[in-house]
Amino acid sequence: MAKERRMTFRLGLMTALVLVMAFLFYADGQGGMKGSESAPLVGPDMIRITADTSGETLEMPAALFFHDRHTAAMTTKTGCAECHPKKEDGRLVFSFKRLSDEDSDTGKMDKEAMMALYHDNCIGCHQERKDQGKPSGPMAPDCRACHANGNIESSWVEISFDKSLHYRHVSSKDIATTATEDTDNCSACHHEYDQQAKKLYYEKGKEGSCQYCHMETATDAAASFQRASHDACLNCHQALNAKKVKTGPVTCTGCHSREKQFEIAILDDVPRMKRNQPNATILATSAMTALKNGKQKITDVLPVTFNHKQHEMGVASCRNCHHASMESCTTCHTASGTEKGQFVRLEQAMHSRQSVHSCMGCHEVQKNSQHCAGCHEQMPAKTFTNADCSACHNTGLDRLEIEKGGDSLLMNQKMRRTMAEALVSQRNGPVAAIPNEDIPESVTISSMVDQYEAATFPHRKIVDRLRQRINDSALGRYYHKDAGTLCAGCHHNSASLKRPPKCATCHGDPFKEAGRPGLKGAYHLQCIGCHQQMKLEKPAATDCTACHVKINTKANQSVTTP
Amino acid sequence: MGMNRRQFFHWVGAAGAGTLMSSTARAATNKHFKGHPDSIGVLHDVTRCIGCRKCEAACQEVNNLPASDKSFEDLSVLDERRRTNERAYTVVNRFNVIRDEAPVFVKRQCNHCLEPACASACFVKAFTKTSSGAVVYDASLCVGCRYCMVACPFNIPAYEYNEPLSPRIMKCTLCYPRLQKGLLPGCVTACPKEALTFGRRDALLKEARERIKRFPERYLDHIYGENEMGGTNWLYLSGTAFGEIGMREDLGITSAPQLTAGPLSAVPVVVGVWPLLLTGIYAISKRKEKIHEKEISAAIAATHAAGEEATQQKLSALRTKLEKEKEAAIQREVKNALEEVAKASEEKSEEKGEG
Amino acid sequence: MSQLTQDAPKVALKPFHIITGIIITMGLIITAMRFLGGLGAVTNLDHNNPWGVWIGFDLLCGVALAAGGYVTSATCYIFGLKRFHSAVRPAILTAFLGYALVVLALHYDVGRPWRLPYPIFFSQGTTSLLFEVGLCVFLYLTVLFIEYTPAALEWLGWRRARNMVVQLTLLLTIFGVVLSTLHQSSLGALFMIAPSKLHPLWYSSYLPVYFFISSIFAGMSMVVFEGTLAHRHLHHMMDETHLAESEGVVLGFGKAASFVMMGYFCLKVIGLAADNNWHYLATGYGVWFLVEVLGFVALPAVTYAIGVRERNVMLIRWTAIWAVLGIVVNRFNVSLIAFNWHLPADERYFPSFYEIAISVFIVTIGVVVYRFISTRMPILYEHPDYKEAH
Repeated sequence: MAKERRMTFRLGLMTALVLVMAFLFYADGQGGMKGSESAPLVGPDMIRITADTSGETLEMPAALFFHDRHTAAMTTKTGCAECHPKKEDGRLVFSFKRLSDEDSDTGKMDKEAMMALYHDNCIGCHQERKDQGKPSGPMAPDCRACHANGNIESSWVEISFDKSLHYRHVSSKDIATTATEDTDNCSACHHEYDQQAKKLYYEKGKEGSCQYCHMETATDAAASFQRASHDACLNCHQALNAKKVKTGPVTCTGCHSREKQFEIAILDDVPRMKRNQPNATILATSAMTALKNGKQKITDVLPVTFNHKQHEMGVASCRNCHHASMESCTTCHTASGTEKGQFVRLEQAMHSRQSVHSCMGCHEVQKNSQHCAGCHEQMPAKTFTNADCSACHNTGLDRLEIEKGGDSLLMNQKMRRTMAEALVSQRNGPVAAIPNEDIPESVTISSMVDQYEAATFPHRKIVDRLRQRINDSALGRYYHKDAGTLCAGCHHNSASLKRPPKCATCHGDPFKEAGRPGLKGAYHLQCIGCHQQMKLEKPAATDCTACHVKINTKANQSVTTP
Repeated sequence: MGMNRRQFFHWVGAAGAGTLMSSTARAATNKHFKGHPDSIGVLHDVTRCIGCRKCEAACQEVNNLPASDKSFEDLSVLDERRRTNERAYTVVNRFNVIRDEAPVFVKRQCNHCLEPACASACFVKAFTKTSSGAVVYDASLCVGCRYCMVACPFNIPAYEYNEPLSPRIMKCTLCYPRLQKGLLPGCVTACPKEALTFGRRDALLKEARERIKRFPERYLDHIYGENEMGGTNWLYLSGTAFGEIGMREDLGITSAPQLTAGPLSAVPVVVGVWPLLLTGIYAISKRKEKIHEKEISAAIAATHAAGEEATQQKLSALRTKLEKEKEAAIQREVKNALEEVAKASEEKSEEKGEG
Repeated sequence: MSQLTQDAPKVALKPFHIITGIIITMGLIITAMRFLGGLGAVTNLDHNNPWGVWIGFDLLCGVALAAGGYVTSATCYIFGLKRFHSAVRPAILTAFLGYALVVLALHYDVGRPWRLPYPIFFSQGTTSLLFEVGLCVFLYLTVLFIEYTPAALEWLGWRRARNMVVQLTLLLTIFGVVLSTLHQSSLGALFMIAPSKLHPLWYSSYLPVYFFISSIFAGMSMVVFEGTLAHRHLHHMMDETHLAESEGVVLGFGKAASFVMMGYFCLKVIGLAADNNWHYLATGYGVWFLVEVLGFVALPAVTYAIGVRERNVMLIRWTAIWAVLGIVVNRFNVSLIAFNWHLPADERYFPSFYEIAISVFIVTIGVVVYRFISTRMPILYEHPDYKEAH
């Protein structure tokens, strides 16, 4: 008896030991560092459903909901209305099974009510479908099937309602407009809001971007941009769909997947928007201020002639510059700043490199494009001490100066615009070119022959290609007016010379001087750096023989040779 | 940073002196070691690296390491994450940090810490931090305990596990033998893009700061190795968070010798105080024992004395009692005798009366 | 007594001989593999995981569990608790064997074992905690050997030499405690150089203190545990005094171990608070940490206390095994499980069969040698000729 008991005890101990060991080695793999690989991607239709947490942690992570799968499963006649209720005017509300997110008492939807709404309706429908023998979704006890710990990423991308897409809506014959005087479908989408009457109305000539009023989150006067855009776009597309008219997408993927966005036709020739904007104007705030103050002669910085039309072509939407309203910059950004402009002074609004809405900020961004970055990425950041003001502030004042006894022409908006148009018309045309005979056709680099034979590169061909790219862009043309500017991309420090020094003049053995690469480094940094920035697939950076011919003697392969 | 043969010899001289000097433990003091003043290093600009593996090839060649299975021109090895091993002092890894964006390449090798963990950990001084900056290893002293590998925060030293008799620790030497000959490290020579800049560490730091200032969008404002683990002679610049390109950002700035300075400084305390304390305890326990013994013998004596007296008392009591009893008995006997005598005389008179 | 020695074990322990025979043969084969093919041939060690079970178990656990030597001799000779006297010799013997085996295991683990004397005689890396460990282990092994010699000398009958050594007892004991304090704590301090590799729950500036204090109750528990084994298998070698005192030793060490473990537990909690590591407790490693400090420290401490209070020798003996296991868990955690915790699972270390086999082989050698000595020399009994001599 006692012996038996002792046996069981020992057995128990052994089992415990084994368990402990098992845990030891199980724990081994626990908490290991996550690989640096990014989270798996799912379709753009993934929605994270969760209550408004506002700081409190919920019991469960957000439920991952795949909208398009549900859309595809809708076979009944009711369609969207199965989940999205209709308002009295027949427009769908794109909330799940409710007309508003707001609770009448608190003004915010209650967490519990929200949970009940989703659980009842989602699980209810899944159950129903299961009972009918149809493919269905997760049900009650399987919480984690929906409330998955979402280490997954949605491939959702914002859709830009760019000028092309805008014009397709403007020119559509199928869009019903409300205002009779409106021939361009503007009133179908654009509206003003009457605070008193709590009503939308349309006013011609006041059209602006949706996001001027519909912000990221809802305000007292306007719904959130997300809600407003889905309400406007989807209801219209749905209605046209019902009429069997060809229209825009109604699924998540249709608008928010990169692939589908590529399928949206882009019109080559988009007419300018009709919003009474100038073709060009002269930005002369400080000069005008001086004149207003009775000065006869302007000694301040020169005005800028601004090609508004050209910039319209260069940007995706008006909002690039007119970021908060369609008014002129100086309305909010005055010389000393206003509250309306969040005390961003005019100088900052024009020159801040931190903002993409400012002139210089946007031009910085442009320099990162693959056409420009080849040269510009290798140029150190400009500081205001080495910025060239006259690149823009160059409108000669002699034409604008005060007429005797009367107002300055500058004070007249119409005159400003006319003059500016005349000035910008002189700008177009290709950049000045250095005559071909001054550009060597090919250059042979033979100063470092060691493992490889001398490399020859098609110098003139490269110059031609680069100049072509510059000429293709108005921005490029404007800033590369001088013949030597392009050359400075490679021949830095010596662009003004017709005969720049050889690379090997300054670059020799490496590490001789701080910040100055050796000759081999200088060549490779510049050539490979430019190719990589311009996203030239060939030659690959690591494919030595694409540029060099390898010398096949053993003796020369050694790095130990002095 | 102007560098020429003379300076090389200067380094060599300093390095020679460095080998002779033993690295000493630095316990907690207010002295802050900032590295040997003229020590050299390499600045690895990660944004320049194209992952061509030329440095790996050069390293293998100048160090006479065994050839690897795959050619150095085979870039498919970059598909997996690698570390230094007994056949490669340096490896280049590729990191696809942002989806669909150009990958980032990072070269990995010994960082040549200013105060190396390996040297501090080695119990036979097989590692030396030379004043040239290089941390060099002497296989003729090595026992093969691999504590240096445990200690190295960068997981750099490798070990010849398949060497039965003379396994060595294998790690980058900053091409110390080449430096002594006035040559640059193999990898630095081979790098086509000057992603490796060679020079004095202080000059490299300046250079790195200058690059950050000139290209604020290209670089993070962090020079890896400036302070990590007390600073390293190998420095890094990157445009992506170092944590995302396989370099740990949680190493702290405390150098390895400082981490173990506390326990080491406790040694003299233990050696000095323990024997005193223990002897004291022994003395106390011994004294206690003695007192205890004394008390016991005293108690025994006391008991003994007390017992004697009691016996005496008992005896005398007994004696008196006996005497009393004896007396009583005598009296009783006398009485009895008298009674008998009286009785006998009565009987006699009666007989007389009858008769 | 010697007659018993001759006959009894041979008959009773046949399976013991077979099993040890197999283990030792296997061990010898693997030894050959190790020294012909290098560490790579028999271990799963790699560049990221340079230390495996030969360090984690043979060195760290071996040294901790051999702490019984200094703990018992200090109890008896320094603190003057003479009733522990009969436990001193077996404890010293196991400690001596323990350290000898640690050194033996190191011959397998280090690359060039013949250079093991280098740090002591040839090139002293004084900045290294491993140097401190090496030096102390070397000196302590010597001390233990001297402390053990009286038993051998009595066996050999060299009375004079024996008496000379016995004269040194106190000195040796103090020396032993100093050396043990140093190297027991340094073994923990070894890992202080790698804060980036050891999980924060185990990494602490108190590591040396933890290792030292845990070695105390490890030693006590080990003495109790060995006593249990000896009682079962070597009962016939014990004399009256040993048998009479053994219960007192068990109760005494049970009580002391309980106190020390509770103190150790408190220190662990203080360490947790000092580094503000509470939030890690909610992770998988946190659970495992709790298993260690609650399941293998706090609970056995309480069980020890219960055993002492109820004078339940059996309970204390089982608890001793539990506590010994706890030490193994702790040393494994520091050296293997929580070490390199940030590495992805496929780069973690798991011992190979050969490594485990060598560890078992070395423990087996220890058991065999212990048996050899304790069945021949006056370990578990007092030599009749020297009864009066202490």
